[in-house]
Amino acid sequence: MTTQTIIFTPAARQAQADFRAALEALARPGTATQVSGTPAFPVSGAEHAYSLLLALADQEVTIGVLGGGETVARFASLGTGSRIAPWERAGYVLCLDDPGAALRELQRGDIETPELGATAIIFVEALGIAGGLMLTLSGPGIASFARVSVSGLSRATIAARNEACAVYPQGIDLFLIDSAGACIGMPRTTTVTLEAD
Amino acid sequence: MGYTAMKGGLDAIKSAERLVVERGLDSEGRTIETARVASGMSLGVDRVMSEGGLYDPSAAAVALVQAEGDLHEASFMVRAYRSTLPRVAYSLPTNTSEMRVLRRITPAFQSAPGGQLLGETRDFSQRLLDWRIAGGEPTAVPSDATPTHLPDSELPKFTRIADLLRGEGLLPEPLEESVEPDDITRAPIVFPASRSAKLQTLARGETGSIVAFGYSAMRGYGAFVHGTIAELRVGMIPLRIRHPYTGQPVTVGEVKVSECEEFTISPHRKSDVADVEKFALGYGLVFGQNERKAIAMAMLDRQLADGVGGLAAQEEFVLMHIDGIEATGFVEHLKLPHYVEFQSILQGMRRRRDRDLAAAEPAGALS
Amino acid sequence: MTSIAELTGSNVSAGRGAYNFAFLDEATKREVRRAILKGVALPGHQIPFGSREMPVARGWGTGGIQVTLSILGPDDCVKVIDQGADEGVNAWNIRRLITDTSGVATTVDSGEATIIQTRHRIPEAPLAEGQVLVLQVPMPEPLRMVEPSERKTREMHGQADYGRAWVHLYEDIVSRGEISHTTGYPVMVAGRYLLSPTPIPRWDIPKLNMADCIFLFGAGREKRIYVIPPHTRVEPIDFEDYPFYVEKFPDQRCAKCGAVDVYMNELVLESGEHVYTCSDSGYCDNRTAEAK
Repeated sequence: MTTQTIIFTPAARQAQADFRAALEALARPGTATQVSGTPAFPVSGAEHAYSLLLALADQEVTIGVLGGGETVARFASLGTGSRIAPWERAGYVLCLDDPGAALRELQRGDIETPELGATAIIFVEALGIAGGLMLTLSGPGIASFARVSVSGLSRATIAARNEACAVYPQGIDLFLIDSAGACIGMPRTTTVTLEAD
Repeated sequence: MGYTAMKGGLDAIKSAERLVVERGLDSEGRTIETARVASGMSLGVDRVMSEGGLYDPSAAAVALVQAEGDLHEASFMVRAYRSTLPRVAYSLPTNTSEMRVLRRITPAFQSAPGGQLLGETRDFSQRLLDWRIAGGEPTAVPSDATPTHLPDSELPKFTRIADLLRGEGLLPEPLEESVEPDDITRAPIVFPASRSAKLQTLARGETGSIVAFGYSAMRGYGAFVHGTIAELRVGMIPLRIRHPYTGQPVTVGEVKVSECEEFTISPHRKSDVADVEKFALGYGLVFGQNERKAIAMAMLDRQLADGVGGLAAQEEFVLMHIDGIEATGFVEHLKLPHYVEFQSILQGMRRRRDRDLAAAEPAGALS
Repeated sequence: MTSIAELTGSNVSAGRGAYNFAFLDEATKREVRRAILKGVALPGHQIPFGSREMPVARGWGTGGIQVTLSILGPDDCVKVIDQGADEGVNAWNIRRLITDTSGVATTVDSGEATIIQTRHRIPEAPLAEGQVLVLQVPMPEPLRMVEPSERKTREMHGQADYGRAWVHLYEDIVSRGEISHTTGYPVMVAGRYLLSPTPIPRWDIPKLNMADCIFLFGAGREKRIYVIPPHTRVEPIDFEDYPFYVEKFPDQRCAKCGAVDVYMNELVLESGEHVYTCSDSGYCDNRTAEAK
């Protein structure tokens, strides 16, 4: 093969980097990685969360946006090329507010096609700082157990997530991303318990 | 020590590449002219387009030359090329009644509106090798017949045989609405397969394997023996897309296709006599002039719909094994090194051999 | 006259003067990446994906290639091996496709690599956090040995209905007095999905269990991707009285570096003598270099 020009656009470069951060985060729940992309986005602080959505979504999947309103949803749809679906039916859901019980309504997949369960990218206030909700994680990807502190997520969200993932292999898979781009992955295989108040 | 570690893999590949490239060149370092291949080997080009899944006669001609006439290899190159092309638009459905007919026969009736237009076919030629071709002189064109060349405006109207039967109430009307077709190049086929997935797999499939399965069905290894070809057409159909700005349909070109429609009667008719028994329609459509594939495709469309009976009616068995690129790839992958696996197998064989030999020793004997 | 491509603003098509980074177009990479992430969330479950035709033949590594090219970034360092050897002709062909279309660094040292694409062996030195092993998969379906129908095996996985796999092993014991299954030994992942680990020798199976690295499996022809995440239970299926065993080379040592506790290649010399060397050529080269 002769040497040819290689085209690597900034968007493609960022998508690859964000994907690798997401891969490591999901493969090692509880270990934070860095989603570095900061594309323009109308909700301040959620740029990194949106960057991951840009990396993963396109016209082959549907997206939903929880919170932020219709203009934000249309912005995300135009940016990704994805069709907006009601978030209960969408494959990739960007949560700009604490989703709470809504997680119960997301697609969980079928017994033969559990991969159709939704991926939720949740913009949270902060990961890993004192004062947040204290979660204990165990399961595949974690040597024994991991502890994560999440600010801006309610106990109701965790309860809803656990209910959505109660009957494996059906379930939903989450990425929690804060305004600094720290990313925690929570696949449906992870057991998540809340520490007592 | 006395052995040589295996090195030089890259040099070996590059040398092999050079050998095959040089082998196809003439004394002046040139390949066969692709334009000559495109015009003089158009049926090979048609087959490569069909199995490559890409309508691009120039790409198929280059592939045929580059692959030194190996049809599987050429189709593979076209497929790989297709993978690199961006999706620009999706065509609007074409009604093949718009075909600019080059050839049309109907075995179902001796005579039907429009008649039998033999067109360009070898069907009734004698398969006698013409050694004069090897001599290199201009070929003597048969002079005792004069084909009639009709301008498009004077072409007869070929009424679709299927429409005649629909008019009699013996063939179901087409559905009012169609489901959005699957795209097997984007999502792998899932069983039970949709009709669109079945037809796409057949349309891109390897001609020989499709013909073999069709043949086996005719000989009893299917759901029923065979139907009747209603109509076989070869011609040019228009390709239309929506204009990206105006949204209006616009014709952007035409493609040559072979189309076959077959009438079948299912042997599995239910005993409920309330409704009129009707024919079913098997459909085959392939790029270029490739009639055997279009006929076999139409046959298998019905065999797979029926689904009951021999191997040719079993959709997984047929559809998973007719893709030429996948089949030849996997069969030929056996040429790759398998010594790690063989070492494991050999260990097991040797161990069981020693075990069995030891067990065969008379009791009490010591080795 | 404007072309349709110009009107729709399509990208430059690769192969006529330019390549997109890592050959694949971005849409293909996204699809593969989505499948990989779902694979992480469903350890051992086969995810269908729209496998593209590559310039390499089906059955010769197109699945592994699509995975590697989809995850690859400019800062990665790639090792490509076939049967454990970097020098294999197919390893070279795959490696040059990767480097020609990405310019990424390559290595033969499994410790240096961030991505290792492999056909049918896992490197001897344990892989670490941050490393990804991409395995080329000929037949992703572990139940194919008992059931040819894709539709039926899909149901069996959905129901975790694996009884026939055990029966198959039992029949093997009855006819041969042992479980003779060699490479591609079926394993249970995270206690839920039966998986084909690809034709790696039994020797390599224990490396899958509770590992530090990520294992990605790509089947191009069969169009499936699956994943074993780190720190995940991977257990070969067996019986209490016929436990899983690995190949052994008790009387052999590597003719090059002297290693004993590795999977070996048997070479038949011109003299007729049989000698053994490390299958993992990078491991062998490191040992030889250290000895100097």
